[in-house]
Amino acid sequence: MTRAVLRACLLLALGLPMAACDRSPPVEQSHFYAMGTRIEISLPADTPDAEALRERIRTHFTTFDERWSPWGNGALGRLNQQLSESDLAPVPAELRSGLAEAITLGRASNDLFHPAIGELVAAWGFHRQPRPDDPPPSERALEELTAGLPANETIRLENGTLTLPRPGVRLDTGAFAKGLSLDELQVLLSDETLTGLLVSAGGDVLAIGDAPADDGRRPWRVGILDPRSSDVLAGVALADGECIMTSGDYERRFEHDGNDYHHLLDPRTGRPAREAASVTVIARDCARADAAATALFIAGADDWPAIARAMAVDTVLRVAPDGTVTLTPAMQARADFTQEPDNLRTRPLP
Amino acid sequence: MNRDRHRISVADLIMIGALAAAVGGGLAAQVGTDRGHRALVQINGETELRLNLHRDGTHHVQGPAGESRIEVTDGRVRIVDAPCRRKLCLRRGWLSAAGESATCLPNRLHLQVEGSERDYDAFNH
Repeated sequence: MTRAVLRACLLLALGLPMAACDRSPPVEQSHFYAMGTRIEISLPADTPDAEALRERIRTHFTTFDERWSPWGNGALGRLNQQLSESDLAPVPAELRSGLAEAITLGRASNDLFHPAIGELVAAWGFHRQPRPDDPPPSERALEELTAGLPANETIRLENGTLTLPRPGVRLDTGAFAKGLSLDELQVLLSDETLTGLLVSAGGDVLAIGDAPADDGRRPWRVGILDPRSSDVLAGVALADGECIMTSGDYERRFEHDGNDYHHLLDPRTGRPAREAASVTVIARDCARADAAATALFIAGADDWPAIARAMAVDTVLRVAPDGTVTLTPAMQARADFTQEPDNLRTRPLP
Repeated sequence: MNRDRHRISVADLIMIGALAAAVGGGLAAQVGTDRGHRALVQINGETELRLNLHRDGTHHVQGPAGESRIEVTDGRVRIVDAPCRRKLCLRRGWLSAAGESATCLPNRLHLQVEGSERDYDAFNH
């Protein structure tokens, strides 16, 4: 071997890793804070007018937040002020389709997802961030609040007017707000020519298009985190227009007198639901997936498959407090476990 | 024929050694891409620190709510103290895979493990 050949090999060997380091990242990430959480945007690096697109997304989330805040001065906040003294009120046009969907999903969930749960949420202090350092509501207060919660069947939205069984009901659509915001984002961006976009609203993720890859394109990949550790439980590839939404007992919680309380309230008892650690739902309708994740979390070990069927979602992963992971067949076909749990079960929907 | 042309000199041996080291280093870099090798610490979206995950230590960063403490040990990183009341970011525990992150909203602190490649584009939780 000549010295010249050796030199060429050395330059090549040194050059390959350096070339790999120099390769520009195929996906650019950015973030901002809105809706009380961190919104993350992933865009292929070659997306045209990316900065204008990011600004459009940021504006969408900040205006959505104002519009749907139950206690703010936006459209829902003002509607709630009217409902505090009246059992009917005109609904602003920008709230109608979202509110109608919330009532429909509430009925399908057998009232486990409940858009009129505002007073109960406030009694627990979860309407404020950070939550005030108050004790949980009393037994008597919870009894009164749950007894006064109107069934979704009794809530009417007709000809732009909302009718409730009594004055003083406060709407709070927080349990599906992230999903609705992602659905509305998809509609907003339908005039954009996008090869790919991934938006995470505090860990609830919408995929549009697909991700860039060395050999062309690939689906966006999302890791579902284990509710009891920081590890990835399973990975899934999302198709264009799909959302993955999770409700878990580890978010927005507090401790009082040695007891843990979280924000996923069971409208039947008024208390945090205890039969799940997390529920993950994949669907093309983000609001539906979001509402279903909440309802299935609350439903409990026996009833969640029937509620999933009634809410028209079929791709579900449920983690019980003891770590047992239950999958629907549709989720089993898609979840790629990094390390298959010992206690893994499959449960078909009825 | 000049026999000296076929004799390996000291310079050749040094070059062969450098070649082996370069190839070995390159392969090691490729094998290790799933694990992050550094962590980005942001306050309010601005980069405060970049931590080498192969260098153990404790780091302090100041956010709008106060001081947060970040620990690096054995190629992993975690938030060990935060000025927020509920300490949710501490519950994320250790982070080591590229793309994993922890966020402390009250202190506007975001900690993310970086790597040249990532298994996942986002995390659902």
